Amino acid sequence: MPPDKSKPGIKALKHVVVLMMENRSFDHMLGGLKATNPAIDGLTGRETNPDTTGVQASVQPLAEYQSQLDPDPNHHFAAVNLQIFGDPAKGPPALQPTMQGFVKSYFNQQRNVKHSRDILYYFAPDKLPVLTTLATEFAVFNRWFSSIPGPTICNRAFAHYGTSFGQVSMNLFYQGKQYKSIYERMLAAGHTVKLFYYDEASSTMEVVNLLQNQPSLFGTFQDFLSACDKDLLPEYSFIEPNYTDHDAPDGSGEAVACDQHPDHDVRAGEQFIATVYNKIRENPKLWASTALLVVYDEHGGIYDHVPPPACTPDGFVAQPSDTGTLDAFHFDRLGVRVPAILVSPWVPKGTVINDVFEHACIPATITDFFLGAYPQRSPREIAANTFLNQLSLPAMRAESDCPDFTVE
Amino acid sequence: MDPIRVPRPPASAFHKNRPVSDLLASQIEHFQHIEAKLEPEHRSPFAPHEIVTENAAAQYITHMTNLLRGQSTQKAGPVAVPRRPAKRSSKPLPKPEGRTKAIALAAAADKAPARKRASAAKKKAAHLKDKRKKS
Repeated sequence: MPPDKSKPGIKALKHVVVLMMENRSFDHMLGGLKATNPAIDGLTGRETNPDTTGVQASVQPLAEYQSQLDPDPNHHFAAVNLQIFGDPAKGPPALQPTMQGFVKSYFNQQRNVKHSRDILYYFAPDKLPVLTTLATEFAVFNRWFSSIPGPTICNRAFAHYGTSFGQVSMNLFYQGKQYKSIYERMLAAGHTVKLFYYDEASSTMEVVNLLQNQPSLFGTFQDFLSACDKDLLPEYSFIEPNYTDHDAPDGSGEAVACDQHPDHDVRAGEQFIATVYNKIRENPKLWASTALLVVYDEHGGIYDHVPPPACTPDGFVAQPSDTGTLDAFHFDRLGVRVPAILVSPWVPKGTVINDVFEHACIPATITDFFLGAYPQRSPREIAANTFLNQLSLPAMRAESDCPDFTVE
Repeated sequence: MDPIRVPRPPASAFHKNRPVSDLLASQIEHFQHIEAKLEPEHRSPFAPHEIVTENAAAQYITHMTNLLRGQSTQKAGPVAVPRRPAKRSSKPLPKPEGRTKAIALAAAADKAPARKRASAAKKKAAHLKDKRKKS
């Protein structure tokens, strides 16, 4: 639904910033919030998964910042099939999503029963002060799912194009396809856009399509910070975190990976999210006119208790040779749930959103707000919900009513 | 509302010799797909079998990103967070040997790799996987 432009928050809105993090499930990061706010669809503490010995392992608030999810949990299509349906090769209609295969899936990687149970661990809320504060102080989505039950790059494609053009893997070659990226659409209509990667050493996951063909779309995180200071933030910004631990290209020190992808330290990601939030908030003009969406691209093989729902078919089909299962995939169901939070001083404190969202909602929202009617979009994007109507307050929240973060 | 303290990760969190993940291996493979179409003088000095750690991946990715964006390696400005001060052993990356100005890529680079080329990429990926820790 297009945003209601009579609302003061929508009238004031000039910028949308999307920060997409890596590979953590909703329950893993935010599931512990249910204890203090039952409206948030997190964990009761009674959720279980059977391990390979038949013992029911329980969720526990024992997630660690680093070293616990090593090796990286498998999140390719067949492994996610096992996590959701309990079988790596079969899915619906023969099987229903039970979310009972996470421990078995993780066991397959090390054959270690004790370690396989770690996949059920979630963070105690006080261990993630940034993410949990933003979730409780602004709007948290109870039903934001990854777009595909599969890995990173095809999921990120939905944020850029509203589709992955039939891909369920990491190999993507989109150029010349029928749907334009949100950046091309915006630029063609005279709007300003930028993808900000962290630095040249981390770069972007959109290599073959956008970086190769439209390098001027990109900037660094330093450029983002500078644009916020100088009131030069584009109308739409997409931020990618640092994907690697590396020596900074300019010799200034160590750049710690802040994407939160296992096994990178989750605290670095907390600092990164806080830095993006602080930078917008420090500029009063920007704070009043910007909506920030923090969202994760996919669940990374980590447990979540909510079965992914069916969705509008995408018009593409991935064959069994691509999915690694016995069935073709018609892009007619979503992936596992991920954390998503909408931040703006126009969002009522403690908002919990129960409508279904996925990454195609990002280009859908940007298109609806900045461009209006735009028929040349994927069926998934056309059917997608938009999120700006959450900026519903009649007046901006006071400075003292919004959190401040001190990044050490 | 009192400010909320956001602690930095400990020094031990930084592990630049960590083996590349599947995600990074894919990113590298995508850059290699582009690199394979370049004239020899534009190619990186990094041998594919040497890109097995995050730091090595970062050096290769720096080279390729700068090449595609037409920038000098040294042009990258400092990034605010999360970053630690330079250690004595921390040195700037070597300048790539190839040209750093913008280059025009072959029109063929827009197309998906041919079957033969995809097969070569898979071999590279398999080689990389042998080198890094199993996931």
